[in-house]
Amino acid sequence: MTPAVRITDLSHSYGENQVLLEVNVSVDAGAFFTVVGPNGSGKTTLIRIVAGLVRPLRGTVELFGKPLNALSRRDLARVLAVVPQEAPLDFPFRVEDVVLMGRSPHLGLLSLEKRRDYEIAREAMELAEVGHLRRRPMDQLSGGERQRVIIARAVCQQPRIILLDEPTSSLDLAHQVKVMEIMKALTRREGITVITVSHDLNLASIYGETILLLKAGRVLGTGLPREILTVERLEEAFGCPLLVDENPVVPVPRITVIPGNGPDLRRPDCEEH
Amino acid sequence: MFPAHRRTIFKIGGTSLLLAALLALCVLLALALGPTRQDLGALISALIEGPSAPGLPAAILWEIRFPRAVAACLAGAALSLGGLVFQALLRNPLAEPYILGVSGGSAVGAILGFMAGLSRFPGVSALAFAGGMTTLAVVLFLRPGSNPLRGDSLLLAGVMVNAFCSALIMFLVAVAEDARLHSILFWLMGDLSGTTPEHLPLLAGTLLPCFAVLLAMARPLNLLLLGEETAMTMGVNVRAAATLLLITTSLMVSATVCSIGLVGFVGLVVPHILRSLLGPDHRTLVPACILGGAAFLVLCDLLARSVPDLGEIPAGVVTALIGAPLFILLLQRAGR
Repeated sequence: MTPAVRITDLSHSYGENQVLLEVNVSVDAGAFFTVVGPNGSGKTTLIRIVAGLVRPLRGTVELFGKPLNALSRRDLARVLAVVPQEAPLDFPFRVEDVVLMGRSPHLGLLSLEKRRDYEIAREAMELAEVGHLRRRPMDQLSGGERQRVIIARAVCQQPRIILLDEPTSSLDLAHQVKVMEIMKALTRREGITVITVSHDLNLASIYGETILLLKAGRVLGTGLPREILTVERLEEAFGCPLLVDENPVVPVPRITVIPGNGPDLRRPDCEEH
Repeated sequence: MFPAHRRTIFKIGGTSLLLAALLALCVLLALALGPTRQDLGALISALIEGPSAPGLPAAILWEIRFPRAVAACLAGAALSLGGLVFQALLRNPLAEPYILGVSGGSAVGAILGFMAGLSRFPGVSALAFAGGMTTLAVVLFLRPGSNPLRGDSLLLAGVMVNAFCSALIMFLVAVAEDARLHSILFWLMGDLSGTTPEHLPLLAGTLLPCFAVLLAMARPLNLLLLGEETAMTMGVNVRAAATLLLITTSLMVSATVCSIGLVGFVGLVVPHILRSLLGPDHRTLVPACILGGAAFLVLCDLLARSVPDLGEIPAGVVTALIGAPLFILLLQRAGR
């Protein structure tokens, strides 16, 4: 089967600063794919390249076998939707209007949304559990509600791939789980490929079917959470002591940070010299 | 209640009809009122019989008031639309149609024209247009970076060009002959008194296609409000769209300025008022700005020429005298 995303020999740098080096990854269609790694490991750049926002210096990206740079913005928007970290609010649209904007890549310049477009938007809002907020302006919503509206907009775009850049970073625990459950439902029910960047290793472990671990622009490993989220790889990637054991609730690795960073920090009174 | 999927079209249609009625009322007032008192019967028959009707009432109506009202409609629409687009594109609530320096360049051109003793049309207009286009070229093509929307470079370039032009304007005003100062000053404040029937086709021919382009760009404008990158991922070719919007809007504003001078404030206040009443959707706002802006300027120009015993005052004075208090009132209401 053609993979949803195939990345071949991808390298990118900002000036002198090499951010991605010879990355080769392929994401299966319908997968829940999570990219993890420390700050500055190239996660966001990787996502931005796949979203068509950054043109890579070397290497290719293919979406369902088609080269990314052969697609127009409009064609790309029909295949792939992006949920950015935050949405500007200086022009407060209503929730329903924001979600309906997801239909734009499917509509002509002058055509208005038809009954069918409203149905798609309603389904997207129900899936993201924001149907009851339909008539509310965006600037009156909480962070978690707003995030789900943006997800509904992405779903309304009817893409085959959805990219999320740290979708849970500013949400409380309940909303984190809610967002992840929505994304999981998307892969299961709609067969959409979900690719997220995450700082939360435990959420990645629980929800990610495939994990990509990056460090300094290189791939440290791709595979099941059990294969990638090992203490050796994670300590190599993050450079801090960790405890990895079995999650007591679901059979996946659980990652716990170990406070302190070496003997002199744990016992500040103990001087080396 | 309308079915959900018809709501947008009803909103666009409803507001447009309402504002069109308001505009029609303002135009009728502008045709009926003026320093020459006429009885209503003569006016109505002149109106019905059309421009070929004989007699003084018909001449006043069709040769003087009608072209002036049409020019006010076109200019008011263009300036409001210009403000609307720049406010969205630059994501800056203080943006107005003159922000990219078009006004400064046009003014320098126009003043040079007045000093050379050229007639208002086509001489001064042509020089003003050339001046406006020159500053636009300077701002658009000499600015750093390739993306017109990135950062504030465009805004800053516009402010600098305007500042430079202001200095030139002051210099020219200082050395101009006294006899020319009155027309220069009126032009700088915006003045519709020089409107003649022969320059309307050119103005309409430039502005109407620009209006059409902006109507078609209403949806991309909405998406641009969500942020440049989000717009890209939702299918908008941002660089092409932004360039088209900037050039169309600047052309529209230049054409307006060169025919009626620098009427201020319409482009700042009308989009804000309509946005606060109608919400941020440009599919409603673009037609609303065309009709509402037209009505506003027709009304202001009517006041500018009918204050008793003062003779004519520049339309730009009236727009600010009415617009500023109205705007503050709305701000207060919105703050509550």
